[in-house]
Amino acid sequence: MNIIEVGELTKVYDSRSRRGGVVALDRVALQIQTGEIFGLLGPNGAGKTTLFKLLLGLVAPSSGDIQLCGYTAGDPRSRQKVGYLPENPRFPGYLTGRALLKLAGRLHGLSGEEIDARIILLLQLVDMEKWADTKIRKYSKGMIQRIGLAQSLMPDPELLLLDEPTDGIDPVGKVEFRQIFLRLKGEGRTVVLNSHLLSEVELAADRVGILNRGKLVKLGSIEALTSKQSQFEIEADFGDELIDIPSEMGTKLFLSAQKLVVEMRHDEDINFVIDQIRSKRISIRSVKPIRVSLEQSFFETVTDLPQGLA
Amino acid sequence: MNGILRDTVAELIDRKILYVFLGVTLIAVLVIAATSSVDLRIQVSGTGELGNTAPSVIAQSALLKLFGAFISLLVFLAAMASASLMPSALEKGRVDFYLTKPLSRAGFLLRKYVAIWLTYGGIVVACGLIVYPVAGLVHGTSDSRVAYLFGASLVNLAIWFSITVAAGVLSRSAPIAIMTAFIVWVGQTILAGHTAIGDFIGSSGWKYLVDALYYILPKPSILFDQAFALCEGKAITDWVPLGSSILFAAAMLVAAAEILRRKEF
Repeated sequence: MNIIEVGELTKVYDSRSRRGGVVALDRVALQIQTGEIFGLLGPNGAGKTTLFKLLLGLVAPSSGDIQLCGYTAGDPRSRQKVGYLPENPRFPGYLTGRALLKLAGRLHGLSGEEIDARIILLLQLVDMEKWADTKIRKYSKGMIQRIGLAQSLMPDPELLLLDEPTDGIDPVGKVEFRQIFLRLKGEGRTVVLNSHLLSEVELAADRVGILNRGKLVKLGSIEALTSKQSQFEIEADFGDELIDIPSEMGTKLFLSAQKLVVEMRHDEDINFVIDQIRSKRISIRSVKPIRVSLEQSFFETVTDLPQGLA
Repeated sequence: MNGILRDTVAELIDRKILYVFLGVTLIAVLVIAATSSVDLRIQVSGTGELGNTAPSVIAQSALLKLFGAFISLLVFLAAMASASLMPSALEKGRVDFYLTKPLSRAGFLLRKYVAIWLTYGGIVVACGLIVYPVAGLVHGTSDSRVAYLFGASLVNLAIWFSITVAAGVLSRSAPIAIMTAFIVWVGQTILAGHTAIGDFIGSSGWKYLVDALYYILPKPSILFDQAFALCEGKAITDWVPLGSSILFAAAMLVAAAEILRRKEF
């Protein structure tokens, strides 16, 4: 079941200006399933925050459809079970952390008992019990992010939209946050992470979407995004044996006594190579697709640099 | 409502605005205490309106007038002090917190408006409830009809807050919200004499414009005058000031809700 459905979504800021406005999102189509951790990546100005704002009804789409939790975005009911941590939040400085959580709970329509129970739980979860009664204006950046995460969890959300959640968080805190995300996923909740920290997304997310200049240029599982298309590494005792690959099937990139790297036109053609190796009675130790880091995949996607230089 | 109300009270306490109201109230109490030894002697001559009025009634009326001035000052302070509340709630980074919760923008606006009215209205009434009984004790006079002044204060606050909230939503600027309220205050004060102004202008076109503005703009000053009249036992014969003021406030809120609905954050 999809908790987020976005169809042909376009957002043009200042569209009435003579210059035609700024296209923040250009015909983006995206479905996010219940219970997954989805990472939204993209360089500055790619449209990531705009997408969040459209989902939450903070800005209106120029065209296209957005469904959130079964309701059209902008409908208050769509936000009933949604938690949101904005980028650079400016929570009311005159409130204490505890008062902020109470306010969030009341705005979500929770009862006093529910609020009190969840506050204890959430303060513990984000390790903010000690600072709960200190005014937010005295918080450090990291503490604001922690209390921000807690307030986003106040409604016991089915969907969590987190915009740069670990910004200002120390390395230990980042690990704690990641564990929280994985725990939420384990509970069947959906987490959408908008982050510049690619390694963080790589470790937590199931699927990733890469936005560039308002377009969704890549979408898929971490595995799909990090595997080099149709490149395989075969470990075997080749010795002096020559392995020939017909040009219509692919190319041999590297061959040593122990290793062969090939790039096939179609994934299934690797079977031909395997058969050929076996026919030469060579013992195969492993066949694996070649992977790159998410960071490398991201750079190759969003920059015009040739592969390998990015 | 509960959440926004508590939030508004917390912001009020944090801004230390309460001290201003307490200071003004304290000064009023001190002034009343200082006048305790004043021997009020009224020499009545002639057979005019005052001729048949007992001095105690005149003293009571004077006290009501002074109290009215005091409570008007509180209303003015409340309108100015509250002008920044809506712009600050709509600040970047903070507005996301409110508007991403499951309530409509119109619902948020109305809650905020009522919260401001209850909070500042409560302060104005509380300060009045300190000052008037003290004045009554010191000068040996009291009149339950002072409740009309409290009522007028609350109506006036509702009108002023509708203006500051609407201007705050439109401009997201506290100074602009304050200036708008001030311009309306000056306008309604001048337009209270719309008949005389019309006669002075002479031109029927301008006279029509002045009259139209009079009927459109709210009339807090006239409402206070009517409250005084009620305190003196007179009846209200002209309901236009109250009706048009309430309509104006409602129109301001509807406009503010529509502006907020269209705004992008």
